[in-house]
Amino acid sequence: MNLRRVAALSLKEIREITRDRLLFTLAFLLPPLMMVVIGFGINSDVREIPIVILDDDRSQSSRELAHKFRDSQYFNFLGYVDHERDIRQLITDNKARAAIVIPLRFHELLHSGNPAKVQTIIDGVIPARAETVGGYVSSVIASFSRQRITEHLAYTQGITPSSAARQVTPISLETRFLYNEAMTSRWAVGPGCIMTVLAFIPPILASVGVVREKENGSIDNVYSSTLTRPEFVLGKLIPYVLISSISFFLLFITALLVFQVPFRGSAIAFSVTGILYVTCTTMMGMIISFFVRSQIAAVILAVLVTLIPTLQYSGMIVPLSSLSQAGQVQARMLPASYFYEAIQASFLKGSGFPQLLEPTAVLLFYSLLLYGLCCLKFSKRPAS
Amino acid sequence: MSRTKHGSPTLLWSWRLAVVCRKELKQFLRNWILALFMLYAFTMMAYQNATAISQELKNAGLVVIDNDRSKASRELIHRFHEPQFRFVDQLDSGREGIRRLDDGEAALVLDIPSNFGQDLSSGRPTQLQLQLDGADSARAYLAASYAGNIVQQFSTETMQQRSVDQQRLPLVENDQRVWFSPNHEETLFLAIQDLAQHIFLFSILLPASALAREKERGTVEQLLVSPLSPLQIMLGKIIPMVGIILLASVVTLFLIIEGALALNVRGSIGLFLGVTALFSASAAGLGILIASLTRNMGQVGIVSITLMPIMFMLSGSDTPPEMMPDALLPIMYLSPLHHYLNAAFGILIKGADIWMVWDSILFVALLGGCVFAFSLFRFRRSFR
Repeated sequence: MNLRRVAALSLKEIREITRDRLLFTLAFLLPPLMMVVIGFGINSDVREIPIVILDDDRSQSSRELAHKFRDSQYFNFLGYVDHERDIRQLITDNKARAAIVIPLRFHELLHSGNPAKVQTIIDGVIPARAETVGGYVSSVIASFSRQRITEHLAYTQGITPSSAARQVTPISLETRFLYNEAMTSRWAVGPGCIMTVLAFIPPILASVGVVREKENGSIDNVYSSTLTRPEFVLGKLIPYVLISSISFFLLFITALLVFQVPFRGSAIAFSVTGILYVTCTTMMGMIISFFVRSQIAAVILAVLVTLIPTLQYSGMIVPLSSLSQAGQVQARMLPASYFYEAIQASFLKGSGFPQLLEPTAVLLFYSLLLYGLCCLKFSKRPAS
Repeated sequence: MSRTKHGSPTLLWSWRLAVVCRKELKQFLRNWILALFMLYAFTMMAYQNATAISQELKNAGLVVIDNDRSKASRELIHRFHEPQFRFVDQLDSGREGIRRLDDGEAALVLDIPSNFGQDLSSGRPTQLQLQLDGADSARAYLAASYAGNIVQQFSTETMQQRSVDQQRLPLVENDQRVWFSPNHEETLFLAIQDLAQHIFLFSILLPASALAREKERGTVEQLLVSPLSPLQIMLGKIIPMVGIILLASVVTLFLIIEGALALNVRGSIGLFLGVTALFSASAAGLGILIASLTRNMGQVGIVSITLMPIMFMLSGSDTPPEMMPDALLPIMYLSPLHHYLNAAFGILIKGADIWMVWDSILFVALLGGCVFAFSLFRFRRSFR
């Protein structure tokens, strides 16, 4: 391998990139912007779930239950409805996400110390959301129920309300979230965005960079030159990895300064995995570029092969454990899932070198493998 | 052409439009790699993404530190079962449990105190501890809510057993019904979300790249000196692409959703395709706008692919409007994608007819029309 030739090619490539000022600016400006919008927009803190109540009982107890929902910050009580038809209408129209139906004799049963039923109706169109809403509704009803039983026990057994409460709740659960005590969604999403953004910007830059030469015909200069295949791949690779690495550090800084995510791991080890990750994604873009002839195909392929799988199989939006067997295999095949592991370990968990060893090793292996593939796939004697 | 020369201006206008459309269609079909990948996205990828992913809690690794080893503690542990939880190990020390969380082997650690069984039988209140891996926030939220419900249920049953002497308690039972997705069936939702994603991706990129390529190669000059108006050139880029995308959507709907996945969509497919055509045309308008603001395919790729995740995030399918930060809410209501998804879920999952989703359709048309008009304005100006 002749390093002077590699350097010459890289230099030419860097010049070409920096001369396209708009592209160059966009490549640096858009990623942090995207990170900020997504990071502040994805929000898992539940609040103001729109809810309606169908109260057939119209009693003191049913009003008390309604008050529980009114007082809760998690719900936005829209009002009473008169008929189940209205519930269907409101839920189909996206106006309400849940409805409570309080049947007749609700008060009578509770007052005489008997169990009573309420029905809750949840909009199930988005299943994950339905599950969350259902959980919050249940907890309000359960707390109402406990309150009634406590009052009942205190009254019938003649004990103090506090000792009745102890009887009603024999087991309590203390929940602690490690690494992210307050469950700030920003902290979880911000670092994840580094992975998402770097999954598609480097491949688009790299694949368009090669295919443009194919479309223009300027690649013939390469075909007829003394550049060998590994030299060509390396020479093309260096500038894009360089740019993407700068982009990586920009995003890293955005996560620390704008999102204020605590960084508890080793910055050097994390940077190494970051650079290896962008090397992998850049080379994925290069492989794409060897297969296609047009820039459109290159961009669309880059999205289909890198961005969409990364969003869905990296573990950021969907927990890896929730994937099917086939999905898990696909996830473990993506470099992104290893980089995401490194992100979690470095930012919130604060593990040092040992924990990053596996992701680093895998990413390094991927880089070498992809480099080998690139060299094999690139041909100086293309068919046709 | 001479035949039409003497026809009415409208006829001539449409004839010319038809000619440009044919040209674009031919160009698309000749790029067979792109066509192949589009087919792949709308068939195999759609199938895989609908089946492999789950946004619900599955296989969350559970580590138990059972200091009690009584009948009661075993009974409680048994309630954490599949598919939500996966039993990993039983450990003796809390420190070891945290190490499992650090490594990512476990998602939650349940700590049962040593006098748990005794406390329960003697009526003393007792407390359990749950520690969750908060770095994986999506999973931590779900796991905490599930675990909370399990403990709650166990607690209530213990309380009921204890007060056998007075069977009747004013307990409020919650009879929960989930509409439109009785079994928390996620597949249909995921399939439609995925379809919308692909429709959006291709609607923006196909026309944008077709225009960008003409600009790069200079063939756009030919179009400009032809007797075509800017509107005709623009429509010529949009109509064939919208047609191809509609065709691909039909393939996904019948072959994948109704065929391979054997799911039933509820509402009218015709209505859905109508809304899709409207939405696709407006997204194509956005694509043309991007292409007229940029200079080459690399820029088009970076801008449109950066916009996509942002617009998806702002569409409300991951974060519902009530949970969206107030600053982003207006942008969400201005996004045609938000209204399109509302209409699509309404029609296909809730079985809504045109009278129920007319407002969403109107918004898609209005907002799409604005984007379209603005991009026509920009397109005209960029060629002056």
